[in-house]
Amino acid sequence: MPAANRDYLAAWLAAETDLSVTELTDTSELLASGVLDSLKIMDLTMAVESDLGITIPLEDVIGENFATVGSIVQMLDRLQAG
Amino acid sequence: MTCARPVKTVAIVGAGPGGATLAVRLRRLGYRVVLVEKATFPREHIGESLTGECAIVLREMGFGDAMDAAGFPVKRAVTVHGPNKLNRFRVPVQRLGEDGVIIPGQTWQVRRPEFDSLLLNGALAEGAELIRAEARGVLRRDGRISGLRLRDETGEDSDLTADFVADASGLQTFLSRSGVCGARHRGGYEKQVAFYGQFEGARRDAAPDDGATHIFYAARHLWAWFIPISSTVTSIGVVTPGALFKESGQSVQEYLTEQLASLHPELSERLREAQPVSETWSTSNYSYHIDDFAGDGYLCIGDAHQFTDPIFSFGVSNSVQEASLAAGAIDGYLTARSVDRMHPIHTYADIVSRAQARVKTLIDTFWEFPLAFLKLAHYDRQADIAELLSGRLYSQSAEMNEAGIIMRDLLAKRRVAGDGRA
Ligand SMILES: Cc1cc2nc3c(=O)[nH]c(=O)nc-3n(C[C@H](O)[C@H](O)[C@H](O)COP(=O)(O)OP(=O)(O)OC[C@H]3O[C@@H](n4cnc5c(N)ncnc54)[C@H](O)[C@@H]3O)c2cc1C
Repeated sequence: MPAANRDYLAAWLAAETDLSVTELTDTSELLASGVLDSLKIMDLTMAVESDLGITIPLEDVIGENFATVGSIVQMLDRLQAG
Repeated sequence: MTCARPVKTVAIVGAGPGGATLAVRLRRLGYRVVLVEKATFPREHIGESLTGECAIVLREMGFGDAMDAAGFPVKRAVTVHGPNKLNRFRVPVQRLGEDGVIIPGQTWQVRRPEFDSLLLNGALAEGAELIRAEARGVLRRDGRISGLRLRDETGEDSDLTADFVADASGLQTFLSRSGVCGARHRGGYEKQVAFYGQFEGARRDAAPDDGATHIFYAARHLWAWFIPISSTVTSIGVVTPGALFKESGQSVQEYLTEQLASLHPELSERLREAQPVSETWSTSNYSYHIDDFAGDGYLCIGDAHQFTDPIFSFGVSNSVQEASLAAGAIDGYLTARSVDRMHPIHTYADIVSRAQARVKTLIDTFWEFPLAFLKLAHYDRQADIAELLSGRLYSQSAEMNEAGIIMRDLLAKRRVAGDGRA
Protein backbone atom coordinates (compact mmCIF):
# COMPACT_ATOMS: atom_id res chain seq x y z
CA MET A 1 0.00 0.00 0.00
CA PRO A 2 2.40 2.68 -1.16
CA ALA A 3 -0.18 5.43 -0.73
CA ALA A 4 -0.30 4.77 3.00
CA ASN A 5 3.31 5.87 3.47
CA ARG A 6 2.74 9.01 1.47
CA ASP A 7 -0.34 9.88 3.52
CA TYR A 8 1.54 9.26 6.73
CA LEU A 9 4.35 11.54 5.61
CA ALA A 10 1.95 14.28 4.55
CA ALA A 11 0.25 14.17 7.93
CA TRP A 12 3.56 14.18 9.77
CA LEU A 13 4.86 17.13 7.75
CA ALA A 14 1.66 19.06 8.36
CA ALA A 15 1.87 18.45 12.10
CA GLU A 16 5.60 18.90 12.58
CA THR A 17 6.68 21.48 10.01
CA ASP A 18 5.49 24.70 8.41
CA LEU A 19 4.51 22.91 5.23
CA SER A 20 0.80 22.62 4.44
CA VAL A 21 -0.54 19.45 2.86
CA THR A 22 -2.22 21.27 0.02
CA GLU A 23 1.15 22.50 -1.28
CA LEU A 24 2.57 19.00 -1.28
CA THR A 25 3.84 17.31 -4.43
CA ASP A 26 6.33 14.50 -4.90
CA THR A 27 8.99 16.98 -5.96
CA SER A 28 8.44 19.34 -3.03
CA GLU A 29 11.93 20.24 -1.81
CA LEU A 30 12.26 19.47 1.88
CA LEU A 31 15.97 19.83 2.55
CA ALA A 32 16.96 22.63 0.21
CA SER A 33 13.95 24.66 1.32
CA GLY A 34 14.76 24.15 4.98
CA VAL A 35 11.47 22.40 5.82
CA LEU A 36 13.58 19.56 7.19
CA ASP A 37 16.83 20.04 9.05
CA SER A 38 18.97 17.32 10.50
CA LEU A 39 17.16 17.22 13.82
CA LYS A 40 13.78 17.04 12.12
CA ILE A 41 15.10 14.14 10.07
CA MET A 42 15.98 12.39 13.32
CA ASP A 43 12.44 12.99 14.60
CA LEU A 44 11.00 11.64 11.37
CA THR A 45 13.11 8.46 11.42
CA MET A 46 11.94 7.77 14.95
CA ALA A 47 8.31 8.55 14.19
CA VAL A 48 8.39 6.26 11.17
CA GLU A 49 9.87 3.51 13.28
CA SER A 50 7.27 3.71 16.05
CA ASP A 51 4.21 4.53 13.90
CA LEU A 52 4.86 2.48 10.75
CA GLY A 53 7.21 -0.12 12.14
CA ILE A 54 9.74 0.71 9.45
CA THR A 55 13.32 0.87 10.66
CA ILE A 56 15.48 3.16 8.57
CA PRO A 57 18.96 1.68 8.64
CA LEU A 58 21.86 4.09 9.13
CA GLU A 59 23.07 3.72 5.57
CA ASP A 60 19.78 5.19 4.46
CA VAL A 61 19.98 8.15 6.83
CA ILE A 62 21.56 10.31 4.14
CA GLY A 63 20.48 13.63 2.72
CA GLU A 64 19.49 12.25 -0.70
CA ASN A 65 16.77 10.08 0.83
CA PHE A 66 15.21 13.06 2.61
CA ALA A 67 15.53 15.60 -0.18
CA THR A 68 11.92 15.52 -1.43
CA VAL A 69 8.57 14.01 -0.53
CA GLY A 70 9.07 11.57 -3.39
CA SER A 71 12.47 10.41 -2.20
CA ILE A 72 11.22 9.77 1.32
CA VAL A 73 8.17 7.83 0.14
CA GLN A 74 10.32 5.83 -2.26
CA MET A 75 12.68 4.91 0.57
CA LEU A 76 9.83 3.95 2.90
CA ASP A 77 8.20 1.78 0.23
CA ARG A 78 11.51 0.09 -0.53
CA LEU A 79 12.22 -0.63 3.12
CA GLN A 80 8.71 -1.91 3.70
CA ALA A 81 8.98 -4.24 0.73
CA GLY A 82 12.01 -5.68 2.57
CA MET B 1 67.62 -8.66 41.42
CA THR B 2 70.88 -10.50 41.69
CA CYS B 3 72.00 -10.91 38.10
CA ALA B 4 73.53 -7.64 36.97
CA ARG B 5 72.91 -7.27 33.25
CA PRO B 6 74.39 -4.35 31.39
CA VAL B 7 71.79 -1.60 31.20
CA LYS B 8 70.38 -1.37 27.68
CA THR B 9 69.98 1.93 25.85
CA VAL B 10 66.91 3.14 24.01
CA ALA B 11 67.32 6.15 21.71
CA ILE B 12 64.19 8.22 21.10
CA VAL B 13 63.96 10.71 18.24
CA GLY B 14 61.77 13.67 19.24
CA ALA B 15 60.97 14.95 22.72
CA GLY B 16 57.33 15.97 22.16
CA PRO B 17 54.56 14.40 24.27
CA GLY B 18 55.08 10.97 22.69
CA GLY B 19 58.85 10.90 23.13
CA ALA B 20 58.74 12.30 26.66
CA THR B 21 56.08 9.79 27.75
CA LEU B 22 58.07 6.92 26.33
CA ALA B 23 61.18 8.20 28.11
CA VAL B 24 59.41 8.32 31.48
CA ARG B 25 58.00 4.81 31.03
CA LEU B 26 61.32 3.29 29.98
CA ARG B 27 63.26 4.96 32.78
CA ARG B 28 60.82 3.44 35.24
CA LEU B 29 61.55 0.05 33.69
CA GLY B 30 65.27 0.64 34.28
CA TYR B 31 66.55 1.47 30.80
CA ARG B 32 69.06 4.09 29.82
CA VAL B 33 67.09 6.55 27.70
CA VAL B 34 68.54 9.13 25.32
CA LEU B 35 66.15 11.67 23.83
CA VAL B 36 67.36 13.32 20.64
CA GLU B 37 65.60 16.61 19.96
CA LYS B 38 66.53 19.19 17.36
CA ALA B 39 64.43 22.07 18.72
CA THR B 40 65.12 24.12 21.83
CA PHE B 41 62.20 23.89 24.24
CA PRO B 42 59.89 25.60 24.88
CA ARG B 43 58.85 25.63 21.23
CA GLU B 44 55.55 26.33 19.49
CA HIS B 45 53.47 23.37 18.35
CA ILE B 46 49.97 22.80 17.05
CA GLY B 47 47.58 20.48 18.95
CA GLU B 48 46.17 21.95 22.14
CA SER B 49 43.10 19.93 23.05
CA LEU B 50 43.58 16.72 25.02
CA THR B 51 41.14 13.82 25.47
CA GLY B 52 39.79 12.38 28.70
CA GLU B 53 41.91 9.27 28.30
CA CYS B 54 45.03 11.40 27.80
CA ALA B 55 44.34 13.09 31.16
CA ILE B 56 43.99 9.70 32.83
CA VAL B 57 47.36 8.58 31.44
CA LEU B 58 49.04 11.85 32.47
CA ARG B 59 47.68 11.55 36.02
CA GLU B 60 48.69 7.92 36.22
CA MET B 61 52.25 8.92 35.25
CA GLY B 62 52.25 11.48 38.08
CA PHE B 63 51.81 14.69 36.07
CA GLY B 64 48.36 15.57 37.50
CA ASP B 65 49.46 18.11 40.09
CA ALA B 66 51.84 19.87 37.70
CA MET B 67 49.09 20.02 35.05
CA ASP B 68 46.61 21.45 37.56
CA ALA B 69 49.18 23.98 38.77
CA ALA B 70 49.93 25.13 35.20
CA GLY B 71 46.46 26.67 35.00
CA PHE B 72 45.44 24.97 31.78
CA PRO B 73 41.70 25.36 31.03
CA VAL B 74 39.62 22.38 32.08
CA LYS B 75 37.74 20.71 29.22
CA ARG B 76 34.57 18.84 30.15
CA ALA B 77 32.93 18.54 26.75
CA VAL B 78 33.06 19.12 23.03
CA THR B 79 30.11 20.67 21.24
CA VAL B 80 29.80 20.03 17.53
CA HIS B 81 27.80 22.60 15.55
CA GLY B 82 26.51 21.63 12.12
CA PRO B 83 25.49 23.83 9.21
CA ASN B 84 22.22 24.97 10.74
CA LYS B 85 21.66 26.27 14.22
CA LEU B 86 19.65 23.30 15.45
CA ASN B 87 22.10 20.67 14.36
CA ARG B 88 24.33 20.62 17.38
CA PHE B 89 25.35 17.96 19.84
CA ARG B 90 27.44 18.00 22.96
CA VAL B 91 29.73 15.12 23.80
CA PRO B 92 30.89 15.07 27.42
CA VAL B 93 34.34 13.88 28.42
CA GLN B 94 33.50 10.67 30.24
CA ARG B 95 34.53 7.20 31.11
CA LEU B 96 32.53 4.05 31.62
CA GLY B 97 32.73 2.44 35.03
CA GLU B 98 32.98 -1.34 35.52
CA ASP B 99 29.22 -1.87 35.48
CA GLY B 100 28.58 0.43 32.55
CA VAL B 101 27.81 3.52 34.64
CA ILE B 102 28.98 6.71 33.04
CA ILE B 103 31.46 8.68 35.08
CA PRO B 104 31.81 12.33 34.05
CA GLY B 105 35.41 13.16 33.28
CA GLN B 106 37.57 16.09 32.41
CA THR B 107 40.83 16.92 30.75
CA TRP B 108 42.95 19.93 29.85
CA GLN B 109 43.42 22.31 26.94
CA VAL B 110 47.14 23.05 26.82
CA ARG B 111 49.54 25.72 25.68
CA ARG B 112 51.93 23.42 23.89
CA PRO B 113 55.23 25.23 24.61
CA GLU B 114 54.53 24.89 28.36
CA PHE B 115 52.95 21.44 28.18
CA ASP B 116 55.71 19.87 26.11
CA SER B 117 58.36 21.38 28.41
CA LEU B 118 56.53 20.09 31.47
CA LEU B 119 56.59 16.53 30.12
CA LEU B 120 60.18 16.77 28.92
CA ASN B 121 61.33 18.10 32.29
CA GLY B 122 59.47 15.20 33.90
CA ALA B 123 61.41 12.77 31.71
CA LEU B 124 64.72 14.46 32.56
CA ALA B 125 63.83 14.32 36.27
CA GLU B 126 63.41 10.56 35.85
CA GLY B 127 66.98 10.41 34.56
CA ALA B 128 66.48 10.48 30.80
CA GLU B 129 69.33 12.15 28.89
CA LEU B 130 68.71 14.83 26.27
CA ILE B 131 70.90 15.49 23.26
CA ARG B 132 70.20 18.67 21.32
CA ALA B 133 70.79 17.43 17.79
CA GLU B 134 69.03 16.35 14.65
CA ALA B 135 68.83 12.64 13.90
CA ARG B 136 70.03 12.33 10.31
CA GLY B 137 70.03 8.59 9.74
CA VAL B 138 70.30 5.20 11.35
CA LEU B 139 73.32 3.03 12.10
CA ARG B 140 73.14 -0.66 11.27
CA ARG B 141 75.09 -3.65 12.42
CA ASP B 142 74.50 -7.03 10.77
CA GLY B 143 71.51 -5.49 9.02
CA ARG B 144 69.85 -4.50 12.28
CA ILE B 145 69.41 -0.95 13.55
CA SER B 146 72.10 -0.20 16.08
CA GLY B 147 71.78 3.53 16.66
CA LEU B 148 71.52 7.00 15.15
CA ARG B 149 73.65 9.39 13.18
CA LEU B 150 73.35 12.83 14.71
CA ARG B 151 74.26 16.36 13.73
CA ASP B 152 74.33 19.05 16.39
CA GLU B 153 73.64 22.77 15.93
CA THR B 154 77.30 23.56 15.24
CA GLY B 155 77.23 21.11 12.33
CA GLU B 156 79.23 18.49 14.21
CA ASP B 157 78.32 14.86 13.36
CA SER B 158 78.35 12.02 15.86
CA ASP B 159 77.05 8.48 16.32
CA LEU B 160 74.78 7.31 19.11
CA THR B 161 74.69 3.55 19.60
CA ALA B 162 71.52 2.08 21.04
CA ASP B 163 69.89 -1.29 21.56
CA PHE B 164 66.59 0.06 20.28
CA VAL B 165 65.47 3.12 18.34
CA ALA B 166 62.03 4.67 18.84
CA ASP B 167 60.73 7.30 16.47
CA ALA B 168 58.58 10.02 18.06
CA SER B 169 59.50 12.67 15.50
CA GLY B 170 55.92 13.59 14.65
CA LEU B 171 55.18 14.78 11.10
CA GLN B 172 58.89 14.51 10.30
CA THR B 173 58.40 10.72 10.19
CA PHE B 174 62.12 10.23 10.70
CA LEU B 175 62.38 6.42 10.39
CA SER B 176 60.18 6.38 7.31
CA ARG B 177 62.32 9.06 5.67
CA SER B 178 65.44 7.13 6.64
CA GLY B 179 64.15 4.19 4.62
CA VAL B 180 63.58 1.96 7.65
CA CYS B 181 59.79 1.57 7.51
CA GLY B 182 57.59 0.41 4.63
CA ALA B 183 55.62 2.39 2.11
CA ARG B 184 54.08 5.75 2.94
CA HIS B 185 50.43 6.18 1.94
CA ARG B 186 48.53 9.41 1.59
CA GLY B 187 45.58 9.71 3.93
CA GLY B 188 42.06 10.64 2.91
CA TYR B 189 42.47 14.14 4.34
CA GLU B 190 45.75 15.08 2.73
CA LYS B 191 44.28 17.79 0.53
CA GLN B 192 43.17 19.71 3.62
CA VAL B 193 44.89 22.87 4.80
CA ALA B 194 44.67 24.35 8.31
CA PHE B 195 44.91 28.06 9.16
CA TYR B 196 45.07 29.06 12.79
CA GLY B 197 45.99 31.62 15.38
CA GLN B 198 45.32 32.72 18.95
CA PHE B 199 42.69 35.28 19.91
CA GLU B 200 41.72 37.26 22.98
CA GLY B 201 38.14 38.19 23.77
CA ALA B 202 36.36 35.24 22.14
CA ARG B 203 33.08 34.44 23.90
CA ARG B 204 33.32 31.28 26.01
CA ASP B 205 30.58 29.17 27.53
CA ALA B 206 29.67 30.01 31.13
CA ALA B 207 31.67 28.29 33.87
CA PRO B 208 32.22 25.43 34.50
CA ASP B 209 32.11 24.87 30.74
CA ASP B 210 34.36 27.82 29.91
CA GLY B 211 37.12 25.44 28.80
CA ALA B 212 34.94 23.51 26.36
CA THR B 213 35.97 22.82 22.78
CA HIS B 214 33.63 23.87 19.99
CA ILE B 215 33.76 22.44 16.50
CA PHE B 216 31.85 24.21 13.74
CA TYR B 217 31.33 22.76 10.28
CA ALA B 218 29.82 24.43 7.29
CA ALA B 219 30.09 21.84 4.57
CA ARG B 220 31.94 18.64 3.89
CA HIS B 221 35.57 19.02 5.01
CA LEU B 222 35.18 22.70 5.89
CA TRP B 223 35.29 23.28 9.63
CA ALA B 224 36.73 25.32 12.46
CA TRP B 225 38.00 24.65 15.99
CA PHE B 226 37.57 26.82 19.07
CA ILE B 227 39.86 25.74 21.93
CA PRO B 228 40.35 27.90 25.05
CA ILE B 229 44.04 27.68 26.04
CA SER B 230 44.18 30.17 28.91
CA SER B 231 41.70 32.25 30.90
CA THR B 232 41.75 34.82 28.10
CA VAL B 233 43.29 33.26 24.99
CA THR B 234 41.47 30.95 22.57
CA SER B 235 43.09 28.94 19.80
CA ILE B 236 41.02 29.18 16.64
CA GLY B 237 41.64 27.39 13.39
CA VAL B 238 39.93 26.79 10.09
CA VAL B 239 40.45 23.60 8.13
CA THR B 240 39.49 23.69 4.49
CA PRO B 241 39.98 21.81 1.25
CA GLY B 242 43.21 23.22 -0.22
CA ALA B 243 41.46 23.89 -3.53
CA LEU B 244 39.05 26.36 -1.91
CA PHE B 245 41.97 28.36 -0.55
CA LYS B 246 43.76 28.35 -3.90
CA GLU B 247 40.68 29.51 -5.78
CA SER B 248 40.19 32.37 -3.33
CA GLY B 249 43.49 33.98 -4.36
CA GLN B 250 43.71 35.34 -0.80
CA SER B 251 46.64 35.47 1.59
CA VAL B 252 46.69 33.12 4.58
CA GLN B 253 45.71 36.01 6.82
CA GLU B 254 42.86 37.19 4.59
CA TYR B 255 41.53 33.69 4.14
CA LEU B 256 41.42 32.99 7.87
CA THR B 257 39.72 36.31 8.59
CA GLU B 258 37.10 35.74 5.93
CA GLN B 259 36.38 32.15 6.93
CA LEU B 260 36.02 33.10 10.58
CA ALA B 261 33.46 35.68 9.58
CA SER B 262 31.47 33.43 7.25
CA LEU B 263 31.93 29.78 8.20
CA HIS B 264 29.28 29.56 10.90
CA PRO B 265 26.99 32.22 12.43
CA GLU B 266 27.64 31.10 15.98
CA LEU B 267 31.40 31.17 15.45
CA SER B 268 31.33 34.70 14.08
CA GLU B 269 29.09 35.76 16.95
CA ARG B 270 31.56 34.29 19.48
CA LEU B 271 34.40 36.16 17.75
CA ARG B 272 32.69 39.55 17.50
CA GLU B 273 34.96 41.15 20.10
CA ALA B 274 37.99 38.93 19.46
CA GLN B 275 41.44 40.26 18.59
CA PRO B 276 44.32 38.18 17.22
CA VAL B 277 47.27 37.93 19.60
CA SER B 278 49.50 35.71 17.47
CA GLU B 279 50.59 35.52 13.90
CA THR B 280 48.52 33.35 11.54
CA TRP B 281 49.98 29.89 10.99
CA SER B 282 49.13 27.32 8.35
CA THR B 283 49.88 23.67 7.77
CA SER B 284 49.01 21.11 5.10
CA ASN B 285 49.75 17.58 3.89
CA TYR B 286 49.45 16.03 7.32
CA SER B 287 47.31 13.00 6.44
CA TYR B 288 49.22 9.74 5.86
CA HIS B 289 50.08 6.34 7.22
CA ILE B 290 53.23 4.28 7.01
CA ASP B 291 53.57 0.48 6.68
CA ASP B 292 55.90 -1.64 8.81
CA PHE B 293 56.18 1.02 11.49
CA ALA B 294 57.47 -1.48 14.05
CA GLY B 295 60.17 -4.03 13.36
CA ASP B 296 63.43 -5.58 14.46
CA GLY B 297 65.00 -3.02 16.79
CA TYR B 298 62.73 -0.08 16.02
CA LEU B 299 59.21 1.27 16.26
CA CYS B 300 57.32 4.50 15.60
CA ILE B 301 54.74 6.15 17.83
CA GLY B 302 51.95 8.60 17.08
CA ASP B 303 52.36 11.02 14.20
CA ALA B 304 55.68 9.37 13.33
CA HIS B 305 53.69 6.68 11.51
CA GLN B 306 50.10 7.91 11.10
CA PHE B 307 47.99 11.01 11.23
CA THR B 308 44.49 11.17 9.79
CA ASP B 309 42.81 14.47 10.57
CA PRO B 310 42.69 16.76 13.59
CA ILE B 311 38.90 17.11 13.96
CA PHE B 312 38.52 15.05 17.13
CA SER B 313 41.78 16.10 18.80
CA PHE B 314 43.25 12.62 19.06
CA GLY B 315 46.87 13.52 18.22
CA VAL B 316 48.54 13.98 21.60
CA SER B 317 46.23 11.42 23.17
CA ASN B 318 47.25 8.77 20.64
CA SER B 319 50.96 9.56 20.89
CA VAL B 320 50.87 9.30 24.68
CA GLN B 321 48.92 6.03 24.64
CA GLU B 322 51.13 4.52 21.94
CA ALA B 323 54.19 5.56 23.95
CA SER B 324 52.81 3.68 26.94
CA LEU B 325 52.21 0.56 24.86
CA ALA B 326 55.59 0.96 23.16
CA ALA B 327 57.42 0.94 26.50
CA GLY B 328 56.01 -2.50 27.25
CA ALA B 329 56.79 -3.74 23.76
CA ILE B 330 60.38 -2.47 23.86
CA ASP B 331 60.89 -4.01 27.29
CA GLY B 332 59.51 -7.30 25.97
CA TYR B 333 61.78 -7.16 22.95
CA LEU B 334 64.91 -6.37 24.94
CA THR B 335 64.33 -9.02 27.60
CA ALA B 336 62.99 -11.91 25.48
CA ARG B 337 65.09 -14.75 24.09
CA SER B 338 65.94 -13.83 20.55
CA VAL B 339 63.48 -16.27 18.91
CA ASP B 340 60.58 -14.67 20.81
CA ARG B 341 61.62 -11.08 20.69
CA MET B 342 59.46 -10.01 17.73
CA HIS B 343 56.28 -11.11 19.44
CA PRO B 344 55.80 -7.96 21.60
CA ILE B 345 56.64 -5.79 18.61
CA HIS B 346 53.98 -7.46 16.48
CA THR B 347 51.45 -7.16 19.28
CA TYR B 348 52.22 -3.45 19.53
CA ALA B 349 51.81 -2.97 15.78
CA ASP B 350 48.53 -4.86 15.83
CA ILE B 351 46.93 -2.92 18.71
CA VAL B 352 48.09 0.40 17.28
CA SER B 353 46.84 -0.37 13.76
CA ARG B 354 43.41 -1.32 15.10
CA ALA B 355 43.18 1.86 17.17
CA GLN B 356 44.24 4.03 14.23
CA ALA B 357 41.65 2.27 12.06
CA ARG B 358 39.02 3.27 14.64
CA VAL B 359 40.16 6.88 14.41
CA LYS B 360 39.69 6.74 10.66
CA THR B 361 36.30 5.06 10.96
CA LEU B 362 35.05 7.78 13.30
CA ILE B 363 36.28 10.60 11.10
CA ASP B 364 35.12 9.03 7.84
CA THR B 365 31.65 8.40 9.26
CA PHE B 366 31.44 11.96 10.54
CA TRP B 367 32.09 13.37 7.06
CA GLU B 368 30.44 10.76 4.85
CA PHE B 369 27.36 10.03 6.94
CA PRO B 370 26.86 13.21 8.96
CA LEU B 371 23.20 12.40 9.66
CA ALA B 372 23.97 8.86 10.74
CA PHE B 373 26.77 10.19 12.96
CA LEU B 374 24.41 12.70 14.51
CA LYS B 375 21.89 9.93 15.12
CA LEU B 376 24.48 7.75 16.85
CA ALA B 377 26.07 10.55 18.86
CA HIS B 378 22.87 12.26 19.92
CA TYR B 379 20.28 9.47 20.16
CA ASP B 380 21.16 5.83 19.57
CA ARG B 381 24.66 5.37 21.00
CA GLN B 382 25.48 8.45 23.05
CA ALA B 383 27.62 6.70 25.64
CA ASP B 384 29.55 4.70 23.02
CA ILE B 385 30.40 7.77 20.98
CA ALA B 386 31.41 9.70 24.10
CA GLU B 387 33.64 6.77 25.01
CA LEU B 388 35.41 6.85 21.64
CA LEU B 389 35.68 10.65 21.57
CA SER B 390 37.20 10.48 25.05
CA GLY B 391 40.14 8.85 23.29
CA ARG B 392 39.64 5.30 24.57
CA LEU B 393 40.70 3.63 21.35
CA TYR B 394 43.42 1.19 22.36
CA SER B 395 41.64 -0.99 24.91
CA GLN B 396 39.63 -4.19 24.80
CA SER B 397 36.50 -2.13 25.47
CA ALA B 398 37.13 -0.13 22.29
CA GLU B 399 37.21 -3.38 20.35
CA MET B 400 33.66 -4.12 21.55
CA ASN B 401 32.26 -0.58 21.30
CA GLU B 402 28.91 -1.03 19.53
CA ALA B 403 28.96 2.36 17.83
CA GLY B 404 32.44 1.60 16.52
CA ILE B 405 31.22 -1.67 15.03
CA ILE B 406 28.11 -0.03 13.55
CA MET B 407 30.21 2.69 11.88
CA ARG B 408 32.70 0.19 10.51
CA ASP B 409 29.88 -1.85 8.99
CA LEU B 410 28.25 1.27 7.61
CA LEU B 411 31.42 2.29 5.79
CA ALA B 412 31.98 -1.27 4.57
CA LYS B 413 28.47 -1.37 3.05
CA ARG B 414 29.17 1.85 1.24
CA ARG B 415 32.39 0.39 -0.16
CA VAL B 416 30.58 -2.70 -1.38
CA ALA B 417 27.82 -0.57 -2.89
CA GLY B 418 30.52 1.26 -4.84
CA ASP B 419 29.67 4.77 -5.87
CA GLY B 420 25.95 4.18 -5.48
CA ARG B 421 25.60 7.15 -3.19
CA ALA B 422 28.27 9.47 -4.58
C1 LIG C 1 45.82 21.41 12.20
C2 LIG C 1 46.12 20.46 13.32
C3 LIG C 1 45.43 20.57 14.54
C4 LIG C 1 45.70 19.69 15.59
N1 LIG C 1 44.98 19.79 16.75
C5 LIG C 1 45.20 18.89 17.74
C6 LIG C 1 44.49 18.95 18.97
O1 LIG C 1 43.64 19.82 19.19
N2 LIG C 1 44.77 18.02 19.92
C7 LIG C 1 45.72 17.06 19.73
O2 LIG C 1 45.94 16.23 20.61
N3 LIG C 1 46.41 16.98 18.59
C8 LIG C 1 46.19 17.87 17.60
N4 LIG C 1 46.93 17.79 16.46
C9 LIG C 1 47.94 16.74 16.35
C10 LIG C 1 49.17 17.02 17.23
O3 LIG C 1 49.80 18.18 16.78
C11 LIG C 1 50.14 15.85 17.17
O4 LIG C 1 49.45 14.66 17.04
C12 LIG C 1 51.05 15.74 18.38
O5 LIG C 1 51.80 16.90 18.58
C13 LIG C 1 51.97 14.54 18.22
O6 LIG C 1 52.87 14.45 19.29
P1 LIG C 1 54.25 13.70 19.10
O7 LIG C 1 54.93 13.71 20.41
O8 LIG C 1 54.00 12.39 18.44
O9 LIG C 1 55.05 14.57 18.04
P2 LIG C 1 55.45 16.13 18.08
O10 LIG C 1 54.71 16.83 19.15
O11 LIG C 1 55.29 16.62 16.70
O12 LIG C 1 56.97 16.11 18.48
C14 LIG C 1 57.97 15.68 17.60
C15 LIG C 1 59.30 16.27 18.00
O13 LIG C 1 60.33 15.64 17.25
C16 LIG C 1 61.31 16.59 16.91
N5 LIG C 1 62.02 16.07 15.73
C17 LIG C 1 61.48 15.80 14.53
N6 LIG C 1 62.41 15.28 13.69
C18 LIG C 1 63.55 15.21 14.39
C19 LIG C 1 64.87 14.74 14.08
N7 LIG C 1 65.18 14.22 12.88
N8 LIG C 1 65.82 14.81 15.04
C20 LIG C 1 65.52 15.32 16.27
N9 LIG C 1 64.30 15.78 16.61
C21 LIG C 1 63.32 15.71 15.69
C22 LIG C 1 60.52 17.86 16.66
O14 LIG C 1 61.33 19.01 16.82
C23 LIG C 1 59.43 17.76 17.73
O15 LIG C 1 59.77 18.44 18.91
C24 LIG C 1 46.68 18.68 15.41
C25 LIG C 1 47.38 18.59 14.21
C26 LIG C 1 47.10 19.45 13.16
C27 LIG C 1 47.85 19.31 11.88
